Amino acid sequence: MDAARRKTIHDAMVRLSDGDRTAMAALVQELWPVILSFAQRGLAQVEDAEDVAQEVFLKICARISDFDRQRDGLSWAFALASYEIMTVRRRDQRRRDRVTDADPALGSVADAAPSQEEAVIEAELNALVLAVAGSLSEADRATLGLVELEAGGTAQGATLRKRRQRALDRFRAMFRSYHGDS
Amino acid sequence: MATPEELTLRGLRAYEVGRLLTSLRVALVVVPVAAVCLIERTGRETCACLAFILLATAVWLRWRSRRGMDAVNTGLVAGSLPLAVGLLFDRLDLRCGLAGAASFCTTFAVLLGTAAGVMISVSQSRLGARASSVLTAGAVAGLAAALGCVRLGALGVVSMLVGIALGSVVGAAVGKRATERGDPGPFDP
Repeated sequence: MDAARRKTIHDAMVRLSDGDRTAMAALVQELWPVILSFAQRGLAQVEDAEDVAQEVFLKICARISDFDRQRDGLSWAFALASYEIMTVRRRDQRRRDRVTDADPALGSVADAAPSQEEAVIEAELNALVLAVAGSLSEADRATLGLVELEAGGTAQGATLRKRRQRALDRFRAMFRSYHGDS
Repeated sequence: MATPEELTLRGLRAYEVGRLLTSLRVALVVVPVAAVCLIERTGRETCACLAFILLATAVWLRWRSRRGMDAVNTGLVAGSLPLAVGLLFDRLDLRCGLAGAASFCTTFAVLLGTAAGVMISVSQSRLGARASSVLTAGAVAGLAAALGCVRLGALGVVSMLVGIALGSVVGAAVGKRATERGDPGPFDP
């Protein structure tokens, strides 16, 4: 950032802290893009960055009557922004920690192998789906995407939707007859 | 994302609220002093009225601008000495008048007021303030002093106010003359 822009921001802050309300427009024009860009660099989520930038900007406005004009205005703004960014990061980290504490399995979803019980349930469900699917007609299985569609028999639009709905209804009925209503 | 106009509006709202909260901090000084003044049985109404005017003036001036904030701070500091002495005199049952021991109280009130006035001139000239700021600070100091001297009688309050005005004028004149001569001046750091 060039020195002239830095000085413009500082001057706008000094004017506001002196009680000159007209300096707010200049502050929005000069400081807001800088704060937004700083927040975007500090946070991965764009929405979070915008929220934090707004929060920081409003905080600067609220505290500007305490602004020490001997200090550089932009450095002060960056200090406030850094604090807010760290707060958001810490909050996100705490949220992740809480989820992990509540269900430790969720903390290691990516690398955890399914438990023995889960493996058995999965195998049973797979067998059931295969059995039900085997009871359906070839056309129904094709409609539900359980087998590759034949090249010539592709229905589209409303026809496909209706066929899929009917095939799903039959699949549900078959599944219930194998597995029961629960 | 908020538009610049929305952001300006929200920023101004936050700014005004922040300024008001900052200016309300003066209540931390004024309210206890008013409470001390209100402990006494006599003159409570006048005391409450003066305290209210002082608080409202101080909050408004501090909210308006930084110059107002500086003037209020200077006025309260300068006015605290006459205020404290006024409350002390009241505890000692001294009353200001023109005859006998009462004249001692009147003279002392003028002297204290003058000291407060000089203090205001010194502080404001260091801040590079204008004459209007000196006047504002003097008014705040006068209100604070009146809060302490209210039970010393009307002459006590008037003596203190005259002293503050005198001190401010003398201080400002000496400061101005020093500036014109190009001297560092008695009030320069």
